[in-house]
Amino acid sequence: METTDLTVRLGKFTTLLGPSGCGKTTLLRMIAGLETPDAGTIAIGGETLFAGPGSKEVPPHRRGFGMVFQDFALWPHMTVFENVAFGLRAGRRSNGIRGTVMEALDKVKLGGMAERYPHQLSGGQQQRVAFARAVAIRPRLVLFDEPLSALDAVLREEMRLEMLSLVQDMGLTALYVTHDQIEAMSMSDEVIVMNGGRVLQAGTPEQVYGLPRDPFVARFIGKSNWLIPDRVMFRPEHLLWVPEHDSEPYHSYEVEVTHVGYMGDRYELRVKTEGEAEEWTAYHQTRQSVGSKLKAYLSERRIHRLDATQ
Amino acid sequence: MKHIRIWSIALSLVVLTALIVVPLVEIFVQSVYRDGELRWAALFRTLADSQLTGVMFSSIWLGLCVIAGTTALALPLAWIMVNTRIGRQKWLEIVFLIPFMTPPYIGSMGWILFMQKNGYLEQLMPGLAFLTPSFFTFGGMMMIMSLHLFPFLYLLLRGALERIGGSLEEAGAIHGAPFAYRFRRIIAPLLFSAFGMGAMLIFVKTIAEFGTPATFGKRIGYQVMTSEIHKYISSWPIDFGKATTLSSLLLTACLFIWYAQTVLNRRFTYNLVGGKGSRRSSLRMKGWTVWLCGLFVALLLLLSIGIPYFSIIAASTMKLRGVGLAWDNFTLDFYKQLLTWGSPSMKALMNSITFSLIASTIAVVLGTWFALVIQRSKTGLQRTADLFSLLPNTVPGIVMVVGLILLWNAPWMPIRLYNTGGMVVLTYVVLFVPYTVQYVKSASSQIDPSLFQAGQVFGGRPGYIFRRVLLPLIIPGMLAGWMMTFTIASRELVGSLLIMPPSVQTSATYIFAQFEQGQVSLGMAMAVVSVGLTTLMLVIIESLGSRRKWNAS
Repeated sequence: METTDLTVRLGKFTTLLGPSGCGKTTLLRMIAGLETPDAGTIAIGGETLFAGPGSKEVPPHRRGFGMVFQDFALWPHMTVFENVAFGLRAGRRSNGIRGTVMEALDKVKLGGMAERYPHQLSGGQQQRVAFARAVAIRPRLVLFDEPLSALDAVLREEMRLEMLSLVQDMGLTALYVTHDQIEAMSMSDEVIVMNGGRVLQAGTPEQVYGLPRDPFVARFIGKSNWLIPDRVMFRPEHLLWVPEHDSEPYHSYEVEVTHVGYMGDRYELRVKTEGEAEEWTAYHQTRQSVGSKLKAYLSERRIHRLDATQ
Repeated sequence: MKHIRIWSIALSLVVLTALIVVPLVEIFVQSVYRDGELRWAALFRTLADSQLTGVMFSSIWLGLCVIAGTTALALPLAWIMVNTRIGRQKWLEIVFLIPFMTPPYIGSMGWILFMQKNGYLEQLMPGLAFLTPSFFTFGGMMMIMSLHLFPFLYLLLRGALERIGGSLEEAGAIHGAPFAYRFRRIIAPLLFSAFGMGAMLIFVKTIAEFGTPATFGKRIGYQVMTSEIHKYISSWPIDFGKATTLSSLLLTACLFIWYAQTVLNRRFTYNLVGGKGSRRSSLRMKGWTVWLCGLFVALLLLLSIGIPYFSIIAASTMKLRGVGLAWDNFTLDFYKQLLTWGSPSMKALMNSITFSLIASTIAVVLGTWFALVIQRSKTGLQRTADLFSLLPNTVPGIVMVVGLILLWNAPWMPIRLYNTGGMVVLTYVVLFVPYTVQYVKSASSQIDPSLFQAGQVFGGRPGYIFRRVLLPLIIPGMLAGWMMTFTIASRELVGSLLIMPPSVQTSATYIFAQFEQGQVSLGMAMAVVSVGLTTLMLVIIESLGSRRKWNAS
């Protein structure tokens, strides 16, 4: 890990996004107290949780967080009810355990499954139990460590919506780790893109997609076309076949289609442009034949210079 | 193809029955069938003999105490190896197998030499001489056996702790549970199933063990079932009735515990949910606790390996025992004498090597065949074959040997194998065939069926697929089985003591005889040579194996 600085705002859904091995899970585990950083501070509200090794280290069980693990980490020898009640019992909050647990289970629609064991549940249900367990203790912060990666694609989509609406309904502060850019873009208030143990950019999903500050961010999130490699780029949806506004300044290019792929709602083209090193991606509403030549237009204001925002 | 497979299963069952099941049944038959007629009363009369019940309770008490002893050693060790930096020392994992791989009779001899009156402890630290009387008691026996068996429990517990692994415990920490609470609610319950299984196996291994009772137990007069069986068979007055009765008791006890263990295991083993490999927990202990853990590990190494091996090596290199530990009393003459061509000791060593080589080769062929017949034990016949082929691992060695003697020495037996070298080989094969079965089974169960399907799709005939796909993938398992059989057979004591033809010795019986009433130095030199030789072989084959470039999974 390199020196990083990040802030999670109260009541917001923040996502750490990056390829596998970029340090995002390590960062999350440091916040949880499962790993010890070599230096630095971690604080929540006004309370310092960590201020350098040896000087102050609040152990994980006194940080008051909830966490959903990648492999769920449900205790196989406890029922669903006991799994969810664990945090309450451990914290000696034994008043009204039953009510609190059942409320959490009802929220994830598992009220009827309280007496089952984890291995008797499906993957999606196990995921919901893990979520209920993390929120039942009313945590100050919920940590998600790639919670959807163990589920199949259809279930993942469904759980994404469900989890997001639960987090929003309960007004929780969430820190979510994923390598899936669609998850990150669709769920978050704020996205933090990481690579190689470094935070590259933090901002709203729109900022990160529209105004990337780093070539890695530009390439990792969405598709990118480069006018000057690693410096000047634009997004494929802005390369049009008629000028956007005649009044605005625009560039025009002669392009040759090298590849066509049908995506259902549109055709995705790979095009070669005279004088450009890299091929570009573009979208079209009708099928084009490979080798055909087209005229393409790009508004000046759609061109993004990475160094301009640095 | 299908016909061949069915014939193969049937034939393997016949072979297994003849080799393993019939001898065991023979024990039960003999204990109720006396002088040509059936006498149920004979069994109960022998049982009621108060001496035998006493022996039985001694065995059980010893088993229980050794469970306690091994737990006290293995549980902290497993915890340390999983949860502290010490666990990163990979060499420790191999070193901790040494006590288990040391033949128990050699370990006990080492301890006796160290602790006896005017032994090495007294010579090194005269102030500690007062310990000697309290060591040569039941407590000392329990300690020696615990120090021998703890690695077995340790491996099981460490495996369980690793599976409980990072995230199950971490989840507890994050949701507000301090360490003691996590231990009580998460670690202890999950560990229980592994511990229960391990404790039962330790119990069975303890009551089945012969080496320590035959050396240390004999010296302090603590008799257990195995040593009594040996006594009734080998020394005057010979009483086969009592031997078979005790054997059937021991056999029943072991089979019962083994059965209970499988039932409990099925009920209390949880399928831990989740896919990604378990990460080592990083909730590590810090500061002085790590030092304390290091001290524990060092002390354990000293007691379980350091002391026995020191004593054996010291005893084998000492000119005069009376002079004691001194550099000018050092000599390698005993090794020269031991390894002189034509000497009784060299003959014994060669016998050991020859018998073990033949036995391990036969055992590997048979074991591989059984393993391939068993496959994933789906049908009833395959399960039966599986059960039969693993019986010698469950049944105490001495019981198996008694059964083999009863069968092959029976008056009606047409094959006169008894009292020949062939009987020795047969005994070794029967005793150690489970190793190959297990190794090959685990190697072949790791092979994905799609590998064979791919072979068929690309036009391979069954024979070709067997030769080019299956065989190369199970060869590591076969090699491991061969190596294990050779190593253990070449030091095997109980079978060798009971079935060796007259005037034939192996290294184990040689060591035993020299220690009892001969030159201790020569016996210990033989112990060093036989342990050293087999260890060297393990190391060579291990280093060859690690050069393999692919994995079977």
